[in-house]
Amino acid sequence: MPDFISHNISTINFILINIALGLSIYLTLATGLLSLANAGFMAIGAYTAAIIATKTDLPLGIGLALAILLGTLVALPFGLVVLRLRDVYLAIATLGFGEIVRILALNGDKLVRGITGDEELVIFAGAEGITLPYTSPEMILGLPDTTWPILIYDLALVYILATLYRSRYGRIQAAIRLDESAAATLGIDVVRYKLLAFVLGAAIAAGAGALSTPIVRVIDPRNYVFSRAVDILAFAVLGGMTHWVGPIVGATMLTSLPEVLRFLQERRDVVNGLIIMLAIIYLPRGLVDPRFWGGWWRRRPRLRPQKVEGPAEVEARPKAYE
Amino acid sequence: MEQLPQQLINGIWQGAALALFAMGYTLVFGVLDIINLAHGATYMWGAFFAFVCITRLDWPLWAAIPAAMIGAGLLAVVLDRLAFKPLRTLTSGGLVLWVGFIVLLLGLIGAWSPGLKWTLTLSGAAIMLGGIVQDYAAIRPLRVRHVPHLAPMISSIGASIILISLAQGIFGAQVSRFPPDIFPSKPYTLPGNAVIAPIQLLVLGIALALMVVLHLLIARTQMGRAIRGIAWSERTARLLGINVDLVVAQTFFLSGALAGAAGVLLGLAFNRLDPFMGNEVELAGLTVIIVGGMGSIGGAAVAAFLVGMLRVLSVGYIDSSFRDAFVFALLILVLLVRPSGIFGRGSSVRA
Amino acid sequence: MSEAEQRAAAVKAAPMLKIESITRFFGGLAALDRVSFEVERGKIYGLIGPNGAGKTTLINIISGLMLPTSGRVLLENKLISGLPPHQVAAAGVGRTFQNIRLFTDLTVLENVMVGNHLRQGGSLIGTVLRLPRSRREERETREEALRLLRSLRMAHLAGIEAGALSYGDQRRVEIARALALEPRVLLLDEPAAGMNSAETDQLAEFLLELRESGLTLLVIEHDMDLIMRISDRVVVLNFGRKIAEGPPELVRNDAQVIEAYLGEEV
Repeated sequence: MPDFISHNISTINFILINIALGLSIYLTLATGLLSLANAGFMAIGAYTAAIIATKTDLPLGIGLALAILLGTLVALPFGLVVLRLRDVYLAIATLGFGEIVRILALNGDKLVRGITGDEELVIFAGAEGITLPYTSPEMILGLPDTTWPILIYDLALVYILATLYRSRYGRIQAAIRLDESAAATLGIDVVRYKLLAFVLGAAIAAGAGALSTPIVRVIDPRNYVFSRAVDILAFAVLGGMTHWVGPIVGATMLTSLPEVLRFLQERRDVVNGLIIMLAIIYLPRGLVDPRFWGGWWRRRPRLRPQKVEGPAEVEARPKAYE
Repeated sequence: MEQLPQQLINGIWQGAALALFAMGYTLVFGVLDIINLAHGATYMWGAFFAFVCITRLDWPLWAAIPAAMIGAGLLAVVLDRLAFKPLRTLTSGGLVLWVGFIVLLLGLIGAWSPGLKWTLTLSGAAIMLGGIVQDYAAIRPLRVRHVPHLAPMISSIGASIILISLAQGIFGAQVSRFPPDIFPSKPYTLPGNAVIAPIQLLVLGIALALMVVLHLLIARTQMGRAIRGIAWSERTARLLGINVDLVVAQTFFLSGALAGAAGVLLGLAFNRLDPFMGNEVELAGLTVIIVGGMGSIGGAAVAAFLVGMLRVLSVGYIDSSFRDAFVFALLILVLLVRPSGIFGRGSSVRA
Repeated sequence: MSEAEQRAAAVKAAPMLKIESITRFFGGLAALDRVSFEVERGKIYGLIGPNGAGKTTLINIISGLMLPTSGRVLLENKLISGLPPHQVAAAGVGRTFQNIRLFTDLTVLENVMVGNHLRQGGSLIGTVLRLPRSRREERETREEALRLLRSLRMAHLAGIEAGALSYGDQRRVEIARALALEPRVLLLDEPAAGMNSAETDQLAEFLLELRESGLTLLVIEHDMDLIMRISDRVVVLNFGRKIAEGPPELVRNDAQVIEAYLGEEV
């Protein structure tokens, strides 16, 4: 076992980071929102932590806290603007958001120099990116000290999301996803709960970005482009977006897949794209579908559906209220 | 820093090409109410189709442009069958198409011997063709579905990433260029010391011509009436005996052909092609269709010039690296102030 | 009387629901044209009219899903038109939909618990930390939802996924979900659609029971027998206009109403 871990430690690290990212997008998807901003929030977190690490002597914990704080502070006003809109617009606006974060990171130094007038300043280091000094990891209880924080972070996330899933927040999320206007007529402030999911997701992604810095060590804008957002989306789409176990399964499978399918490594994006398409078309509920698996592990016998009479299910729902 | 007349001219010809891209985008949205996020990838492939025609097959430019449009149009039709159609109705032909697609991809990306590679690729393509024919001939679908409204967008994201990655595998990630002598390069001087290159005039001319053609197609022909009918109400159109399946295919063909034309023209004008060129125009295109009012073709055409101008002016007067930031700012502003678009009809979107 | 008592008395005297000259245009077409009426406290009002008369549009406007082009809706003298739907619901308006809109993936109990959520406090932090208060409230919500289901004789359905229910049961669950909101006015959009006559009889009994408990109801229905049997008053719409209003037996014999329904089953 220790051998297995030390040989595959880099894959394990990436699985753990990707689990956090998958959970971040799950929150929005489970509320019926397609947000592609998570790569952007990850970048915000990674740059925050990397700048703290290179410019100060503060520990990673501070970087993590600041990253989460900054992610939240950016997500709040941005979410307030875009979450009032129909889903299509949200996807578009978040697509643009990721692009803007990348542009800002790429040209951040130019901006800062313009403001401070200090022409020598290097903070973001443009396309080269920030490189963190290498320190050989210490082993604690069989795991490197860079792995532990992410593992603990993931466990904390699982605890929080599992608790929320079983609470009224989980029910309200599902209600909004399944029928937004019916939810509104039951007194649910749809925008508020969407904002909550969006901001929590952003904070989680920013935290994951911060914790990824000691592992990737080179933080450059190319790491956080559109294809990263698609990676993250694939975790949740494959694993399932209605239960928090889904993105964990999806992230684990898709991150270890390239190791398994080495001969396809060159064209990993093709495999990613294919998995997204196949999953959404032929497995729209993902691998982890509580409705399907629930029947297997639930102890009490489930009353199985009497067949639905009448036109209720056949009739398409109206697209909007009018 | 160049002076204003020059900027305006650049804004106009770039806006015209952007309009082609955005009109295709908004056409599909109008008919099917979906955002095809693989539209940028279709645009990129259109440019590369022309590139292959010119550099590998030695075709003249006047033949390469329509060929690229047809290629991109067909690509969009296949894309619809792969990414969107199965979300509307499942047919056995659709399943065959998907099997063929997977075989094709395996052939294209696997590290096989050349013989096996070609066998897989070609047989995959053949199976896909059979699947499309069978799908089209299908009278009774296996299942009519109601998928979550996010599904088409997610599916097209998957398609987009596949198309980009394939282009990367075939043409490489580096910038490809057309041969420099493909078109006369001596610029014309215009009043106000502005210059316009012949290629830029060509872009403007072709783009305007295509816009007129599209307008006539939509406004005057039987096909245009059918497209408008479905955009208004698919159910009514079906009751009136319109072959919805066929019209959807035609819509995707038009949309893809327009994207392909935009890809070739902008690829020629800047003389740089790379697999990611679609991503750059994607945000601008989305901004255009939102500013123009989702689904409104005329609105998209007008908004494209606005966005094209904004891009050019922000490059000319502020800083090229922030060009997309300004486009994005416009996008957010319009979403904030008037989500139905500047030229769109007002609608009461409430949540 | 003190000022507060006077105000309370004024509210009590006010109609439960007041529709004031509601007009709604779709494009150039008026779906509703200056429709006004009042719904008295503790009564069942029937809202009838041929297809396309604007009944559902009116319910959508009352519940806040749609904005009127002009006109106002008042709930006990408090303006509710213009409020977003969740605030209208919080003010005390519950509704069901013509094409049943349950949360199909959730169980019946969970559906009802969503309806009950306004009564559940508990902050996000409290929930995450599993503070005793949050856990207690969750338990209470569950019990309350079960109690409601039991009182509606639907407790045996609690664990079943809403999407798997029979059509009639889905209709009843949707009403239960709306009742969990503890509304003062309940808007029902064709509650008997797709029901057989035995089920319709049960529904009629049930709606009368709800009235006994003090609830005010506004019911859209095509089943004339049902409407005539349960309604205290009937409002008739045709082409977006109110063409008649009164007790069922009067409306039934109104010449205009008969004309509007000519060719339709009465």
